[in-house]
Amino acid sequence: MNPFWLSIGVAVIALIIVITIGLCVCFWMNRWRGNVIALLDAIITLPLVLPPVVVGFALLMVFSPGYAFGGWLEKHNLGVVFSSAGAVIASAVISFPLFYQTVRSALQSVDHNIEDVARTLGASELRIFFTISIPLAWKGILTGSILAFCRAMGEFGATILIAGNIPGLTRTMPLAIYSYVEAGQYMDAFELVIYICALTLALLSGIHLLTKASMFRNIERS
Amino acid sequence: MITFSFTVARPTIIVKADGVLPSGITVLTGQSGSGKSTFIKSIAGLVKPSTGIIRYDETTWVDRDRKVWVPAQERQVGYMPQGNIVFPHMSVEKNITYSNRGTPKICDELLVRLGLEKYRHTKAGRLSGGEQQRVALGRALYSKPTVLLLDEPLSALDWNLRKQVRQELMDIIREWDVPCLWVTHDESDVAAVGDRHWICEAGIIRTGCICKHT
Repeated sequence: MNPFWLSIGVAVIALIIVITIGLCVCFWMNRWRGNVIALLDAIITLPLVLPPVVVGFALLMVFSPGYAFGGWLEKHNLGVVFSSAGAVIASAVISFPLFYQTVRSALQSVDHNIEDVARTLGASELRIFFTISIPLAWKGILTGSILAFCRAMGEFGATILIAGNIPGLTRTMPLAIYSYVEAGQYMDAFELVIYICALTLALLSGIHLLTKASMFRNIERS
Repeated sequence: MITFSFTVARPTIIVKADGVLPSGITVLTGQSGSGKSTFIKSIAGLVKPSTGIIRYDETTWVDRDRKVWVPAQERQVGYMPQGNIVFPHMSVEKNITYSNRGTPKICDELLVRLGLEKYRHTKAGRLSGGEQQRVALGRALYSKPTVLLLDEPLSALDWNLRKQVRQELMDIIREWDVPCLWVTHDESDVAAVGDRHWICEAGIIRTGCICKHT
């Protein structure tokens, strides 16, 4: 698979994982009143501020066949090191905090009175989350998803450590750019740079246009 | 009939309440920050009292000594908080039928009575402030509430709309004959709405004053 489509595929699968786990974590974090919430929040956000290569090293320690969990995965033919699955895991871990922080803020900004009304009407917390919180925070969820997708597509440091740089298997666009530059093939690298910039720019502009369109719709209604 | 005797201690305020909420409309007034909303939320099951009891007839909703706590989902109270409190992304019909306690017949009756029949499939967020208040009341009544708790239901409305919407809400509440606690900081609501008047002063709920009902 060429680096462009491999990057898209890896980012899409990583995004699906991030959205699924991210919404569950946000649901739990926004409703839990425990004292360790600040610590958990910091741990979840850590990959956003750490150098990706540090995250990659941590992932390697977890998934490497030389260690307990990685060895167990390898024994059951589920090894992720030097495979596309490794690239997906690296992208998901790196982009997760971006999704989590954006979505959590969006969910926190939903008027709690509306959720309280739903409680008095007999709705369970899960029903409130899916029928009230998520629909009212959709803009934040969409923004978080696009940011996470862009970040996943541009992931380099963690990916190269856990998945390597195998052409057709784990060589995503950032890794291909690195390889081309190293080999002195600047035009090939430039082509990929244009692709990744254009796609990211289009997606980020999409967020802006969507938010603007939604704002105009609200003004028209009022 | 709701019987209560409880204290809510929060970092910013201490609310003490002791009394009985009978049928009819009871108006609770008090200055901003005096603890009115905390009191009403305690009855609704959205705030946990630190000590004391809350009972509805023979059912105990809260008894901190015996560690009894009935969550808001099981109390069957109709609650209208301050501000724009419809589910703006849902149609008027979906708003009213959000609770699973009512029937389609009740929904039809409410839509007609509240003058919302023509907006049945309109998103509630698109309605005017007064119409949204009616949707919120309909939604609360559809859930067959044991008591209606209205926290400044007119606060989001322009002053010229308030009198009209107040009369509409009052008429419907009396028709449905549900005990109602109406929280307001507008003194003009006291005589116009209530059968009795309670006052909240620095977190103490003073019950017992009878209003001149007009």
